[in-house]
Amino acid sequence: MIPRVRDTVNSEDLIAYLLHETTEEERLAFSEKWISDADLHEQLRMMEAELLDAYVREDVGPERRRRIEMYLLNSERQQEKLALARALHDELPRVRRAIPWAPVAAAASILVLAGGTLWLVRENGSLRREVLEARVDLQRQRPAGSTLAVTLPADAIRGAVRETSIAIPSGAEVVRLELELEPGDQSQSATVEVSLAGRVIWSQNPIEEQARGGTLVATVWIPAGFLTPGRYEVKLSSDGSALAYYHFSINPPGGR
Amino acid sequence: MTDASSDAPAPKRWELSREALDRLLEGLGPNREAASLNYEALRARLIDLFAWEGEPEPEHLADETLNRLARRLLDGEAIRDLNHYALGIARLVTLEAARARQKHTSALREIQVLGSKTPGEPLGLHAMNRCLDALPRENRELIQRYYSGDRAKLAKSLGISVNALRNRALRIRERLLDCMRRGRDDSPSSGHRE
Repeated sequence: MIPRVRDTVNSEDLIAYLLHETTEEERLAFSEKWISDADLHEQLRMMEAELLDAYVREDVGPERRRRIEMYLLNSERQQEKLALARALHDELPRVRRAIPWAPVAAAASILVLAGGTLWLVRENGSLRREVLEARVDLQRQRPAGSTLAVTLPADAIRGAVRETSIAIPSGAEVVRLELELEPGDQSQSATVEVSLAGRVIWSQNPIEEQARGGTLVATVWIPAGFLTPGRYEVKLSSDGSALAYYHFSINPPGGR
Repeated sequence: MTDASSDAPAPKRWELSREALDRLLEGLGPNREAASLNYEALRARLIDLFAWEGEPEPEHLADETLNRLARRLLDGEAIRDLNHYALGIARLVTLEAARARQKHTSALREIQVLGSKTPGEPLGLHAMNRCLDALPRENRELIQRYYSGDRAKLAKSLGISVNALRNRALRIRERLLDCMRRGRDDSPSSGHRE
């Protein structure tokens, strides 16, 4: 809620401000904040540059693209910034992250290899054992053809939840969540936390990022058995700051 | 100059006097040097503010805001926080600019004209290469690596955080932009017209 304290400003807030994704009251309050905060102003400028870079790389979704055109490219000055971004892009093409597409059979081994940084956050000791067993099972079984892939869009507007409904088919052993990243959300040290009813049930760090048809996605692998019916929230964060939120619900078996 | 002799509700343009500027600078810092830096910083923030509001002439509106701020100070108004006061003025200026645009019914046409510009046309690749060459080698290499490789690795190799790296890249980027603008403005054949 606005007014927020300085420490809670994250890239999502910056993008929301620059692309007019907030209410007018929030916008005014944010202006009050950054007009006398040199650091915050600097962060806004950096985010603006990231957005323009993403725009010329065509790494933004259609709605963000429209908003960039509507709000960030109205003056000659802004057009010049875009021209620089375009020139930098043309002259210094960024090397695409060469992350090989993980085949379905690798799902389990990814989970196991990353075991040191993959953990299930539940206070209950028996559930901890459960996750260990799940890892072992996944390692043992090497599921082939049993991964369900689901792409989740980030919530575009703070507070507006876009929930994806998921029906896990019988036989699916791993659910691969592909979290669409907005420009600026990319991070080498990102963490994903999946919560059910306010409790974190799965956490992963580091996060794989992959290009999917012009969009960058962060990939999270979760044993299907952990996803009981209910409404889930996924938080993508970096260095303690939330970058994006995603929502999905798991349908009861046989339900739609 | 516009002819505001008829109904003219629009505020008359008040010219910034030496005295008013001095008053503004006095309010911005304990000495001339600090005040000048603060003036530039405030102006840059106001330009961004208007640009991010989607205003087509952010520099003009920023200067108008500073002029009005100076005038209030000259009139003896006690202002505790110049930044916030400037923001208040800027909001008024934004509203006035919006009203003025509405009055001129060509607003839609203006948008179309702006929209029809080829993005990236005013400043080009050639200008950027020239400005890249003019950068100190360290900066040139940094920006090249920043845009061509893994930023996390680059940050690590420099012993700084990714955020600090982004900050450095932004500074270099702004230097590039200044250089490209100067090159265009200095060029006799590069007239730009709305």
